[in-house]
Amino acid sequence: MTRNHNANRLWLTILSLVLFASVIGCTVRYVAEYDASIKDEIVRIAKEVDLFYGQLLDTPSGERQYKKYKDDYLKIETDLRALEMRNEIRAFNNESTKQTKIALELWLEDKENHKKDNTVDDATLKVHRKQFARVFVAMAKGEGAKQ
Amino acid sequence: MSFDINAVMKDMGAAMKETLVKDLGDIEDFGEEILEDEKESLEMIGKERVAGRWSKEKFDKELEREKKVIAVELLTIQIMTKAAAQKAVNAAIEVFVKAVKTALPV
Repeated sequence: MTRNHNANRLWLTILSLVLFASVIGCTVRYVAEYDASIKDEIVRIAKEVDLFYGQLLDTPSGERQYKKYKDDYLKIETDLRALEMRNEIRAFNNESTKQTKIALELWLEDKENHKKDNTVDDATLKVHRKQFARVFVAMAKGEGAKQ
Repeated sequence: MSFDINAVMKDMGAAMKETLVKDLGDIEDFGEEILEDEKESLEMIGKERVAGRWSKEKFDKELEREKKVIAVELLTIQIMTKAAAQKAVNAAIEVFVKAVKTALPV
């Protein structure tokens, strides 16, 4: 009698667990769901930034006045802000949001320095081009890891 | 069908291990990539300072930027680690739910 009672209790517990698991969807979530469009957007902005540095490097340093590049700075700034917003509104996405904030910070620093000095030297352009490539690779890899 | 919790736990552990082995390998590879890239960037920055083309102030500013780039890369390691843990836990839960379903009386 007691054995039967215990067996019934065990099955009831297991059934409850299964029911609980099906209610919670049987999965845990620590990172946001993968979004292919975000990864594509990161790659697109990376290309845009790389082209920007390429154009600057292709121009003699005496002709790199800020005014000529103002629109490109603003366009890329807007793209980064939009990406930041898209990352921020996703649940479980703190790290990607922080990454975009840092990318934006670096971009704004470049913009302000160029505005202040009204030119940029070759070495700075090469170092920053490489830094942005690393930032975008890290961001794209981070998004890819969510698959 | 019987429900042997020890056997189920063993299968759950195996499922976790299987997903973790691959994901931890990817994290290690990315860690090595970070170090290699970091070496290149620091070499460029160091050369400019040693050649006297960059002032101490400019050098310090560039190092600060470099720290931010590394922070972005380390955030990717965090995402990869969390994603790996998520996959491993879910693989184990799947094994458990399957085992319980199989053991349920029809």
